[in-house]
Amino acid sequence: MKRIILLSVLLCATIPAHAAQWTVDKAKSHLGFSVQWQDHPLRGEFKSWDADIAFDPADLEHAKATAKIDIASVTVGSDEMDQGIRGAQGFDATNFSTATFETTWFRATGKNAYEARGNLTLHGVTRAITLPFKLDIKNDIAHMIGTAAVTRTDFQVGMGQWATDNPVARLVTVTIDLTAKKTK
Amino acid sequence: MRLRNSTLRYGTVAVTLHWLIAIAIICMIAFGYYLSTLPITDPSLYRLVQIHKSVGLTILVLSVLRVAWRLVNPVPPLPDTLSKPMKVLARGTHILLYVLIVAIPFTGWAMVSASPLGIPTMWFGLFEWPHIAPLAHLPFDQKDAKEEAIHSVHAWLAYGTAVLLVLHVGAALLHHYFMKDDTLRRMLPGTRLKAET
Repeated sequence: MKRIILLSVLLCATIPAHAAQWTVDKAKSHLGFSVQWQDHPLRGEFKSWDADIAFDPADLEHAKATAKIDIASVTVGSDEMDQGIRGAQGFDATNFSTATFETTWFRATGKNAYEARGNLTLHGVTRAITLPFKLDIKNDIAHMIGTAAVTRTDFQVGMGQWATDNPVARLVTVTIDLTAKKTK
Repeated sequence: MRLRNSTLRYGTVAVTLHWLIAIAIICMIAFGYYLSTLPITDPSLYRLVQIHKSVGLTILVLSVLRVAWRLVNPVPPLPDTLSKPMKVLARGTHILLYVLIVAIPFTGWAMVSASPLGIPTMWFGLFEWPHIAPLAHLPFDQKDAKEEAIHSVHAWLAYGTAVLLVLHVGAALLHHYFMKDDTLRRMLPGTRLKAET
C-alpha cells in the first residue's frame, strides 16, 4: 500500500501542476463526420478512438492534446458501405490503421471558444488543420464541441476516379462532441 | 379499340399498361442484376440507383392502377380449347404476375426506406419520394440487417419473375404460332382479331 501511495505521488509529481489532465468519457463522446454524397449528406463516425488531454483555460501555453483514431472503426451504418470506406479506395485501413491528431498550439477566440492548431496524420499524410471548438467546464466535467473542415484529397483519401467532388465531395466536416472528466 | 376491356379483347388502357410495365420490368430486372454486380466503390452507383428507384416507383404506381383497372373491367375469357388444368396454370401465372409487379417495386421501396444510409429518393431528380415511415424510423442498429433481408427478397422476387416471364411469353407465342388463336392478338394494340373477322 505504501509503495502504491509513493508511486502515485511520484507519478503526480512528474505532471506539471498547471496542466490539468482530462480523461475522455467515451460513452458520452462522439467523433463523427459528414460529407456530401451527390444530393445526400453521408454521415459516419469513428467508434474507437482516445485522446490524451492536458488543458487549463488559464494556461493555454501548456495545453496539449493528442488523439489516436482507429481507422478500421469507421462506420456509416451499412456493412457493405463500411467495407468500401475502409478499403483501398478509401482510408486503406489495412495499411494505415491509425490516424493521429497532435495539437501544436491553442488560442482563445471568445467566451468559452477556442481554436486548436495541430497536425493530423491520416492515410500516411501529415498536414496541419485547425479545430475551432466550444468548451464548457462545470464541476470538473468538460464538454467540448468542435468542427473541423478537412479536405480528404489533401490526405490522398479517395483518389483516382474519386478524386473530384463528384460523387463524393472533397470537403469533409469532422465533428467532435467530447465529454471529459478532470483526472484526480 | 375501346378504352375498356370487352369480352373479346383487352382495351386501350389495359394494353398500354401491360406493355409499358412489361418493357419496364424486363429492363429493370436486367438493370437490377447489373447494379448488384457493381462494387459499392463504383462512383456511378449513386446516380444509377436513383434511376433504378425512379423507374421502380413509376412501375409501382402503374401496377396499382393496372390491378385496379383489371378489377373493375371484364376479363376476356381464355380460349375454350384450353384444358381445365391449363386454364388454372394460365390464370395462376397471371395472378402471380399481378402480385409481383406490385410486390417487387414495393420491396425495393421498403429496402431503401430501411437503409441505414437514409438516402432520399429523388424521382427523376424532380421531387423527393418519401420513405416508408415505420422502416425509416427503425432503431439505427437494426436497419442494416433489415435492409439486407428486404434486399434479398427484392432480388429473389425479381429473379423469380424472370422465370415466370419465360412461361408467360412462351405461352403467348405458343398460342399465336401453334394454336393460332387470338390470345396474343387481343393484348396487342390495334390488331384485328380473328373472332372479329
